[in-house]
Amino acid sequence: MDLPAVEHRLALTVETPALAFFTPLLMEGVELEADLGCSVRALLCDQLGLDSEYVNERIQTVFLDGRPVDRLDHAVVTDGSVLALSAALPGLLGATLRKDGVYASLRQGITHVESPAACGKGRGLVTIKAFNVLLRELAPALFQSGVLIGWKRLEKRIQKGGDRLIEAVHVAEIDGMPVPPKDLAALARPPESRVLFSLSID
Amino acid sequence: MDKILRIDMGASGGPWLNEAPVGEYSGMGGRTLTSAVISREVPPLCHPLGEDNKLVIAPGLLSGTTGAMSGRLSVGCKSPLTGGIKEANSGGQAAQVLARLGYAAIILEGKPADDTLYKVFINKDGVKITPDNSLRGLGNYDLVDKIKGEFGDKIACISIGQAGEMKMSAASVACTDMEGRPSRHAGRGGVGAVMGSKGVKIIVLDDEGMQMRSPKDPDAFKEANKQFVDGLRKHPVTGEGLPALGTNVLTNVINEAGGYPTYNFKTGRFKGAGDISGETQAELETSRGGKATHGCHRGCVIRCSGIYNDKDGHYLTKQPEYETVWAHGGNCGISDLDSIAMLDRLDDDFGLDTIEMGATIGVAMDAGLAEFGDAQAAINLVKEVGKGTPLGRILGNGAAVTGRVFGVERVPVVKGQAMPAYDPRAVQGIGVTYATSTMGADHTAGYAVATNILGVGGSLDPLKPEGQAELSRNLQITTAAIDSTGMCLFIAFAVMDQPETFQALIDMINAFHGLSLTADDVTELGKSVLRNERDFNKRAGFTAEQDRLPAFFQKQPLEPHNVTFQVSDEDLDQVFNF
Repeated sequence: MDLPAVEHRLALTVETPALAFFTPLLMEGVELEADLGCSVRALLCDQLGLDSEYVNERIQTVFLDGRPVDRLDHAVVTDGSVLALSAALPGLLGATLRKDGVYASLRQGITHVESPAACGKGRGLVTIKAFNVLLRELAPALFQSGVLIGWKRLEKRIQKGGDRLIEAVHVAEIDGMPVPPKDLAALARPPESRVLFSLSID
Repeated sequence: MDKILRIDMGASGGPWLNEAPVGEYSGMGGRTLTSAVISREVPPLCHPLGEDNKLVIAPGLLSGTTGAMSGRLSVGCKSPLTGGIKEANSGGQAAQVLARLGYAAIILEGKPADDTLYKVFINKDGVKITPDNSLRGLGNYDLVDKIKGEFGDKIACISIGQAGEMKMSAASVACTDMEGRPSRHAGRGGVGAVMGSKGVKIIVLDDEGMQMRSPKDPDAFKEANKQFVDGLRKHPVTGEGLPALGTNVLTNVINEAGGYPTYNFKTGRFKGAGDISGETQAELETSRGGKATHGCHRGCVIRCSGIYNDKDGHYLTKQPEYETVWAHGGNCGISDLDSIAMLDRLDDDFGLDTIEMGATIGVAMDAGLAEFGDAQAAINLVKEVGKGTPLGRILGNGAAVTGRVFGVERVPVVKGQAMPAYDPRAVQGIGVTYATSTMGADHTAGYAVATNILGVGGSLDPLKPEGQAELSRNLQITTAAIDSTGMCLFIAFAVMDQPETFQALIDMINAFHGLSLTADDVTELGKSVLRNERDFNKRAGFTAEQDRLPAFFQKQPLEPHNVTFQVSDEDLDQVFNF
């Protein structure tokens, strides 16, 4: 399976507070390259490196293609899948959407239909979203490993960050070439071009 | 809390006050008390705005104590919106202060001979009711400011805005918060219209000189309260998610599930959801010097509210709730938080239910009165309500009336009350509660409470397709019980997941009142509330036909999952078979 080409690479080394400027990207969704055919649990633990206990306890609500998932081992990631992650939520709806929750049957009409997982079906792109308190918790690992995103969205976050972001950036490289942090907002790239964006915390 | 204050607004010679022991209502609080009074004393076929209806205002069983989370105030009556029984409850300071003044309830009765407006003042020395027509036409914010000028700022107020004066069916009853702002509302069912029909503009409460209510067993109560608070603080929802992001934490997730009613229930996803999400809202509030974490009353340890400042850093409104952000936001195609906050402020000031008004504006947009997404048009429509123009009076009487007037078929109401922020086609179980609740469509009628712990849910297998009716019934029973304690419903999450926290709640009630309630007793309490309410509605003319969702939910598939509401009428009719 051919993956779309990465047209640019932007790598930033930043102070921790700078993460907050980019976490909204995770709320909207970013793409990752991933092994296909694997279970959601394998993607989270084996590919993204999340701790098993964190996945079990902290990630209380999981959607695959908009459908609530109950058993992470029985939900399979395919090319173009959208995986959304949330912590525990309030309200009857919050309780209803929990994985394997006591009220799961209340939303049986939209629940993800399980199927057997089998890794090794090639590589593809998966969109990851994170919500609420997971945003900041997952941001360091996701951004460090690099996420795929359109330049237009990334540019918008950089420009919105303004001087406060520039001050928090220690090192910036575009396509392997150093760039002064103050010039980040003025980088001109085609809006629809795909960027591999990574962040390291200094 | 050993007495009930009755004010007969229709007595010859002017309002007549009567204080009497609680008598047959002994041991009741909150929704148990309001529904018992309405069920026993109000003729079910009476006109909701007539002399035979009563407005019952009751703190909960633990209000006025040092118990955490005990500040909900119940307001009950026959609803002008649904024609059935109504209990709406509110946060703020009023329940705590009213309970410390010793009142289990205030009951407004009768109908005044003319349109004179009254204010009621209650302190340790007694009750005064005086005519004050200078209050006419004031919004809640100006009203409370004026009253503070007269009585000082250490008061709690229960009041109505212009909508209540005009007896609109979407009118709320406002309660002041910790800062003395009228930002907390018993919103649903038109309770404010009934207060307006009694000619009472405001009830002013001053508990200076009064003490906290004393438990029968202080040590046991203190220990149980400590356990209860510890349980709330350690739970990820009550100790973390709600304090950090408020109830609006739900926007992104409900949207992801495809259950976020958008453009007047046309689709289940809103493109602008991220812009109005709790995550975005909290960041904006903090950046403007507001607060993303704030309690609505003293003794709240969850603190799911906040302070929303305008672009200049000045207070605009409290943090709009999820339901408000949805109703005025996604439901109307509006993705601008400042506009939504302004709509929340206007609703609070005019004294309007934000869910009813958001749903009504959505119906109005479907009727062509404004374009979906036009925030300024939505603001203008709500201002029409405040001014009481002919159009405003139509809108102020809710989504059902507006739909009838403008010939809209897609009107999301049950028993005349607008549906909250969860589409029942995506989450069918909540549709069962919407359909069968005694209150009309109500997301708080069957909450995620401890049915398993209480033993009314059985041992549920979450992956087994349980009967939706059975689950909804059990949720409605346990919710009715919690509504009677005066506890904020948000304790439900910790209570649901942590048996020791649930036990701590029962221990608090027992230690305070010298009782020995068990979980079974709590269940029976909930059942008795629902029996009273169902019985009232039946005598008011309700049949199984009112326990239904509008037909479009069965006929029009909801994107993105293309689902319709599938629960059969036969199943719906099984909810109240206990």
